[in-house]
Amino acid sequence: MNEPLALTDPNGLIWGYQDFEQDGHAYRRFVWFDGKKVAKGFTAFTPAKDGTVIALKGGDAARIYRNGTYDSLPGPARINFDNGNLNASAGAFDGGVPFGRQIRNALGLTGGIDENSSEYKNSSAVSAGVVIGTSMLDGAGEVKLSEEVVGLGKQLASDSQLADVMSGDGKAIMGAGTGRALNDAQSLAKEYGGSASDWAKVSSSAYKAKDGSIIEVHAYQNIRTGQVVEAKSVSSSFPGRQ
Amino acid sequence: MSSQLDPFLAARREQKASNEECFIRGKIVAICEAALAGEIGVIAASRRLSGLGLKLCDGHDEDFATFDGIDSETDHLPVDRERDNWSAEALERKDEEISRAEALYRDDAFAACKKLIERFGVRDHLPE
Repeated sequence: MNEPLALTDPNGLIWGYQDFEQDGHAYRRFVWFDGKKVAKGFTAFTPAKDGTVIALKGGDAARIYRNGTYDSLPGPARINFDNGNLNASAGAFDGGVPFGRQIRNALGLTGGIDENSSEYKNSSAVSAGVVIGTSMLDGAGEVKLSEEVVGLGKQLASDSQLADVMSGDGKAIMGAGTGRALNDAQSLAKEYGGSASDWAKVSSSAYKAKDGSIIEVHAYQNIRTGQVVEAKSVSSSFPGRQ
Repeated sequence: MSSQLDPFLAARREQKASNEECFIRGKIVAICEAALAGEIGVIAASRRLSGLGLKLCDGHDEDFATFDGIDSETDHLPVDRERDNWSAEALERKDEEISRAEALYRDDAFAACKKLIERFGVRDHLPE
């Protein structure tokens, strides 16, 4: 079990998650709040003073956690993590899209944020139609996302890729079924069983992050039994790949 | 977001994307030719080609799968500029493994390089 991780974005929201292992693979997250695990399978959350937790799940609705149960946000306030953006569909918060400061205001949160900061003021400018996390305009008029938002998008994409690969949806790129030799096939057969000709290196779909880097999850799969082992994340931003 | 852009900025962005694509295609051909000529190792070439393939094709492409696989299988090995970060003693230990991998993947990599040169080379765009 890894230590809980948390970061604070310019809106003052604290995002947190914690790795845990299941069947020998660390591919899901616990929602972590106030030193306690409150749920699993959710990928981010923000704690409120009254013990409420807004738990976020990629592609799923935002939920408020109260007394051990989850309620949907009023609105509805669906939040999706799509291509590195934190997008929310239309909700009931002042006729716009609830996210960041609006959710915080609805829950009566003010702690830990400088309301006079430029980031705080800018956040109110992006409330029509789609909210794009903590964004700024660059010189070319293109939206630039903060490092935290890009990182969170990558994390969620990687979790999703890992889940796909672990469930057998990876694409073989080497070894069994590809016509290309897999160097580690013998040692995989020795370690995990089966014959060397059954093992393939598989890859998830590629995810292009907003910072231009491309990430994938690779693993070995026994195409006869479906067993998936030794998953790892790879990125085009790793050394030697530019 | 692009629909909200000024037409001039949209055109500039399109031009930039087109220029970048040409640049990547040229880079791919140059790396493949260097690999075939033995100027760059199979592992180092695979690392670069795998990344360029993803960038150019916005995802997996069968012609780059060989390099994706080689890169993934050898990403623990120090080649190219990365060797500067390793001690001579550690490099000595890894060099044997690098030689084995280079020999094992050479044929597949060369065949894939030839295919990419055929696909992205400028030959087709020259007048007959």
